[in-house]
Order: sequence, then structure tokens, then C-alpha cells
Amino acid sequence: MIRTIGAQLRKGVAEYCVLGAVSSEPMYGWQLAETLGERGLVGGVGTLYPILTRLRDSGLVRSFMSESTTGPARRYYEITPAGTKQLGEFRREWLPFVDAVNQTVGGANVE
Amino acid sequence: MNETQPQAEVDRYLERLDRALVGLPSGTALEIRDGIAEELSVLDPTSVHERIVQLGDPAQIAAEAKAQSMPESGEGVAARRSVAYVIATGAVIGFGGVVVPLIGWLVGLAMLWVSPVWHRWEKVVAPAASVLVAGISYLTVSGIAQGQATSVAAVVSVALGTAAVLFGLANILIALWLVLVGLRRVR
Repeated sequence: MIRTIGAQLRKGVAEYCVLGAVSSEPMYGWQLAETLGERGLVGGVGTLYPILTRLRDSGLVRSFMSESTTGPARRYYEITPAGTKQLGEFRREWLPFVDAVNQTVGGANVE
Repeated sequence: MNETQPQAEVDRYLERLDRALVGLPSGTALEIRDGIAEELSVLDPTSVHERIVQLGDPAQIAAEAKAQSMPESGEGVAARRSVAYVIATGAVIGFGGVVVPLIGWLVGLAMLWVSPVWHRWEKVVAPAASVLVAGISYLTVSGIAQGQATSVAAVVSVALGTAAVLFGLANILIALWLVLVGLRRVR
């Protein structure tokens, strides 16, 4: 049951977490998978790449190949203006939502 | 360490990944495959094994991706990635246009496009190639026939007839290619 709750919650916010991650700087696939995976926000590359595909098809991120001085070129993902706008709208919704959930479910005495 | 061992391990891993990704939307499958191949290609040989362990079982990667990508499930999707469907699609593309001119071919293309077995570029190249063959043959034959025929109707007739035959032959070859590629992925 707990594992299902976590999966449900992640499913709802995973795309916005990817947008948030690339909003500060372009990132490549494995870098995103590690960053978001460490925080428990995506399961792995199998979860991440479909999200990236959806975001790219929606015009919220774009990808580009970038040469590296230390090795072969990598594909990076960066946020688009439309993605920045979408992320801003999510941020405006998120905090009031979190407050409302906290008030509703309580939580002070729950481990 | 033998320099070919890490590459062999990468090749084996990518082969397992390719088999596991069959059935996913082609764009997603390609993105996963390219991303993982790219990551493994930039590592020094001593780090490859560790990264492959971190990536995990390709079946698990595919299962996660399918859970994300495919809201529909069940018999319909499974049917469109079966051996029988691959063969039927090839047969309709190769010979459907002979049974029901043009429409039969279009039905075959529709079967091709709704199946997750083939990649998007294959779905574009297949019809484009046969149309290109027909177009080039029409222009070539009409150019040759103009110097020899007595009427425009005769020129057009010869050119169209040749283009139709070559279009049909091209479709058979393309259908064979699609079937071979498709069977490799669904088996």
C-alpha cells in the first residue's frame, strides 16, 4: 500500500520534476536519471525517457547534441519558453495544494 | 582487461534491451535505446560493467517504460506485435495493391502505422521508397517514350504502365524488408 501511494504521487509530479531539473541548466539523460533517482522521483531510465519523449512532443523541452572536450557528443535536454511557463503554473498550484493536503490529512502524530 | 570485453558486454546488453523494448511506441523505444547506448559509449572501459549493473535488467527498464507510455493494454496491443500481424502487414503492403488497387496498399500502410513493432522512420521510408521508384520510373520512361511515340496518350500509357509495375515490385521488396525486420523484433 505504501509503495502504491508513493508511485501514485510520483506519477502526478514526475513531468514537473523533470522540467524543474532542466530549468536551471541543460542535462543529459543519465544525469537526469541519477539526479531524480537519488531523490526518489523517478524509478530509472525506463521511467525517465517516456517522460522526456512526452515533454519534447509537447514542446516543453527540446534536445540538442553537444560536443564534449572529454568524449563523444551527448544529447542534452533543456526547457523551452513554453516549458518555463508550464513550470511556473505548476509552482503556483503546488504550494497551496501541499498546504491543503497537509491540513486535510494531518500528519503531526504520524511516523 | 581485454579491450573488446567491455564492448562485447555493451553489445550483449543492447541486444537484450532491443528485444525487451519491442512493443513500446517506436519513438520512446528509440529514445531509451539511444540514451543508454550514448551513456555506455562515453564511459571508459573500466566503468562500463558498473554502469550496466546500475542500469539494471532491460526487462525492468522496458516494463517501467511500458507502464509510463501505454495507457491501453490487453489483446489489441498484443495482437499488433504478433508474428501473424507482422506477416499479414507485409502481405497486404506487398500484394494488397494488386487485389484492390491503391486501397489495398493504403490498408497495408495503415496496419504498418498502428503497429508498435516498426520504428517511425521505417514507417515513413516504406511508402516513400515505393512512391519514389514509381515517380522516377514514370519520368524516365515518359522522357524516353516521347522521342518514339506518336501521341501523348501513348507516352502516358507506357510511362504509367511501367511505373505501376515497378511500384508493385518495389512494394514486394519493401514488404519483405518490413517482415524480416519485424520478425526479428517480435520473436
